[in-house]
Amino acid sequence: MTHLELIQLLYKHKDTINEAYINKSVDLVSEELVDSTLFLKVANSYRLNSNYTTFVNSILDRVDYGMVFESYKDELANLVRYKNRFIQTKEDFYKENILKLIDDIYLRFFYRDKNISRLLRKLENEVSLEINIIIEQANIILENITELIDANAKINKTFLELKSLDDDIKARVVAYDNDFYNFGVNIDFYIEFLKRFITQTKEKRRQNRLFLNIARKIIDEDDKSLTKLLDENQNRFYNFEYSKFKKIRFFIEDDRRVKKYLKELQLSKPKKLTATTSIIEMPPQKLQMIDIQKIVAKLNALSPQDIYEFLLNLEEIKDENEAFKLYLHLLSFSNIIYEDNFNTYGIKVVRWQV
Amino acid sequence: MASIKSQIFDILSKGVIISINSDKYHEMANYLSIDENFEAFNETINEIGYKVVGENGYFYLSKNEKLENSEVENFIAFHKKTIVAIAILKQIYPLIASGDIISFTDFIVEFEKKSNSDIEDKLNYLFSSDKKTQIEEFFKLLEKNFIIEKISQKDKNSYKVLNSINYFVKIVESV
Repeated sequence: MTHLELIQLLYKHKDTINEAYINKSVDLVSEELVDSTLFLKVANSYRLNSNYTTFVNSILDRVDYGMVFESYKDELANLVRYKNRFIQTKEDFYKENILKLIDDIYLRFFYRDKNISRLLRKLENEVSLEINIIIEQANIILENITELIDANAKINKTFLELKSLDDDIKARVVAYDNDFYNFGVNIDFYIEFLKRFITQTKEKRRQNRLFLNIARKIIDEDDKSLTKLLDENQNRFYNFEYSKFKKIRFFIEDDRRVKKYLKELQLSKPKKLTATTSIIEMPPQKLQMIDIQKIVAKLNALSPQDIYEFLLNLEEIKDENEAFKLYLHLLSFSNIIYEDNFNTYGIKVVRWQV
Repeated sequence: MASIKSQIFDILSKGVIISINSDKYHEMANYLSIDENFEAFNETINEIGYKVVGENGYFYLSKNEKLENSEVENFIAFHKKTIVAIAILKQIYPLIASGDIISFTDFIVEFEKKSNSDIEDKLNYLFSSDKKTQIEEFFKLLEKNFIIEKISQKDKNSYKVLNSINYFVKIVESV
């Protein structure tokens, strides 16, 4: 069969092949697919040739946990054999085969590295598997990758020896030197990654068990220890939402503003304000230059929806500080109505009602 | 324009737990991550009987005095509900951690695969509605309790897990 005929065969049976790729096996296939060895009969079903699946996964950037981490022992043995024969005979036949094997091993290393990287990403983003299986798979991958260190060292040693055989062989090995070095570095990185991942995942497993255990107790109303912990350590925990803080928020908001503005004016900090503290206890002399009656008359005439903004636009108010002081002062008037929102200056919106 | 300090106060005083990995509040969290800013801010807040707690990449406001009896019930219920909700999240996504992105639709797919009586018990504890509505409410609860936030207003399906999930990890580890 030619390559073109193979492509045509794939196209002709694309639906069957696709079904087998997705479902791992099919019950029935055409005889020519079996003859081509694209399908193998396993028990009562037909499975795709693993070489085909590996090729497709590689092209589609997919990888399975069952990925085999080849150490290329056979290729290495062949390389050593050809090397020895080339030393003895100097025949080009052996040289050509050595070059081909170098290319082949390089490509296999390249794809193996890519697949390991994909596999680790898959592991890290795993959502479908149970956490125990994830840890188990990570340990298997770690074991397999660790075994590659020795295999890599043997291949590197053989490649080093090949450099002295012939200039062409040396040039080919040198061309791949850097990449092979990086593959080795990557293996170290993958091992570190996996060790860290396994430790972190075990920690997550421990935490998950704690959450499940406590959640179950909560549902069964058997959560005295949690309730006790929360109750006894209220101040350590997030209790704000349930304090009455929100009810006095407006006053604190003013307190904050007072502090901010007094700080800017380089005056001392005000004393602690409480919900019951009157926010109009501003020193009256700070407003003595402003004619309050005149301002009130304007407010009565215009009934502004946002007093602070209104004050800012008055000619007699020289800056934000003054507007804010006056704003605080006006809050003691019975004409003011508090709105729920804050204006663009971060100040509670208060309108004037006649 | 209000200062960052005012903005932080505004947000914390709404009861928000600010996470450093929140896109919405990261600027405020970064500000509070600087020791001197945090201390100065806390000094002001302390004067009105509150403190800012900052740990493990999140910040929240807490009352210094003991809660009143009427407040305690809600305080405890908030923690219990959130712990049960996180337990569900971890049953569906066992590796989930702060910074991860989850999607509502993917969650439904995984939920269908993994749902069991234990998960259903938890959902029934949290919500009395039907299953479909329960999952929507579950996401709303996680968002409301600062465990997740929408990654953008345009994308209503994707959420980021916030650092504040670690606050609840700390609690379950302390029990």
